Amino acid sequence: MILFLLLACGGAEPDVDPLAPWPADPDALAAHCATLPYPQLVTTCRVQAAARFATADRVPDAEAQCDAVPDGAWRDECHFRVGEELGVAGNIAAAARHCGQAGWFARNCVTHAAWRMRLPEGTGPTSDVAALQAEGSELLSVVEAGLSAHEDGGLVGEGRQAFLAAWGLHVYLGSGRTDPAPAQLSGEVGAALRTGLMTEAARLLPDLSGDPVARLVEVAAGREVLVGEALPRGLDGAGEGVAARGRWHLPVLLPHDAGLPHLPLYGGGLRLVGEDRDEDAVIAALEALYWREDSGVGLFLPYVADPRPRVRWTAVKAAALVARGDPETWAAVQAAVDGAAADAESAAIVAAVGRR
Amino acid sequence: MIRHLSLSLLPGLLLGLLAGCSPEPTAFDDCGRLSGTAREDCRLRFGQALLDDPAALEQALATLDPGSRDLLLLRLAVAEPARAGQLCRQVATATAAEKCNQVLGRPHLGTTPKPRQPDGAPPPPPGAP
Repeated sequence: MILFLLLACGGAEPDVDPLAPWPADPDALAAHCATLPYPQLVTTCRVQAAARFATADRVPDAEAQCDAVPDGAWRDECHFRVGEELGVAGNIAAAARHCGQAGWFARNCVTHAAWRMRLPEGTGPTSDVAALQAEGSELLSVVEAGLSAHEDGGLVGEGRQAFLAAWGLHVYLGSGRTDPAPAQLSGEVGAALRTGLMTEAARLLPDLSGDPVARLVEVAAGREVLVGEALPRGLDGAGEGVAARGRWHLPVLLPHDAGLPHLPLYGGGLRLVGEDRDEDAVIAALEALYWREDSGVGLFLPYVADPRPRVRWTAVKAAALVARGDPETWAAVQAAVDGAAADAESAAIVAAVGRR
Repeated sequence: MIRHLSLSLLPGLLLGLLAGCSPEPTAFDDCGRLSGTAREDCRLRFGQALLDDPAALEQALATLDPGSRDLLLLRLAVAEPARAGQLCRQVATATAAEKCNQVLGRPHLGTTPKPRQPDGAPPPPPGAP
């Protein structure tokens, strides 16, 4: 009775220091989580343990930790952390599956997992073209399967685009090579690889003299080869890496994007996909040169009057984004747009960028 | 005699224990009368009610020892991620700060789902060039 009363008056003293440092080893951390006295601390501990298991590509152990987190935002967060870490580990099928369980955070998860994904060993510009085509198709297939159960019907489309775009970029960017054959592939896999080829070519281009867009198109056609320093490809777990060293493609939803085929770009922007492979190479070149931080508006202005609408709109967007904040350059872009095609979409693009 | 004495003391002893136990806490400061996990859970409960009154919360935190203070700040941040910036800024120990970063570094945790936009249909997949 007395003992009961004593217990009723107070709680037990915890056996462990609830704020003790977390062990680095995931197994030790998981064991530590089970000893913690307060639900909030148990939850964050389990999320951290799940992420560490995922880093080591230990999917069942990561899943067990997430399953032990109460349903709600923190369970979603657990799957988000696991999804992005599995992307870094290169296990895309499991990454997509966990992103598909990340609830409200699923789109964030897809973006992080995709752009930080590690490519399979040996994948690069010198890979067999048929093997690359198969790898791209397999990627789309596992991403679709992983995300299909999510209640947001738009997630599958967004996820397949993000993973494919990131894959295409990482195949080339940082490789130090511009082998053109993979970027000759047709379909969405080819378009994603062209983004990668052009971005790497823009990085390797020694200077921006002449018409650098035309030079990159020559590279895509195999008539010019650029080689240079190879860098670690992709992004690391902290989101650092060669893709993050350029000018980011801003997430501007431009009027012309609606309904036209497009691919995501690093940073959140979108690029249009051309009506044919040659047109697509020019669009990819313009976007790649925008990514290169020393490119000025003069490089894009000749293409503001291009007869191909998607090329023209891409050039207008790039020129306007580069000119932002500089009244003199901005006026030059507006004059070029007004004096060239003078189409409503181009004017709307300038206006949309100006509002940012 | 001794047995009679101890039996007569029992009601007083029980009363004393009950008095020491005291009624259910009605304010943050009452939590100090409890011990162990019950005390910390009580502080969390009353601390959550003070989240909209930063001055009162700060005053309450000032009465705590550093360990309990960091523990409360961390638990509040996990329970209310949208306020993690304000709460984690006040954490004093490195180990609590490490755990606070689980919330601070994840700003989406403080967001809430929005209804889909009327035009929120997925973007079309990239077409064949």
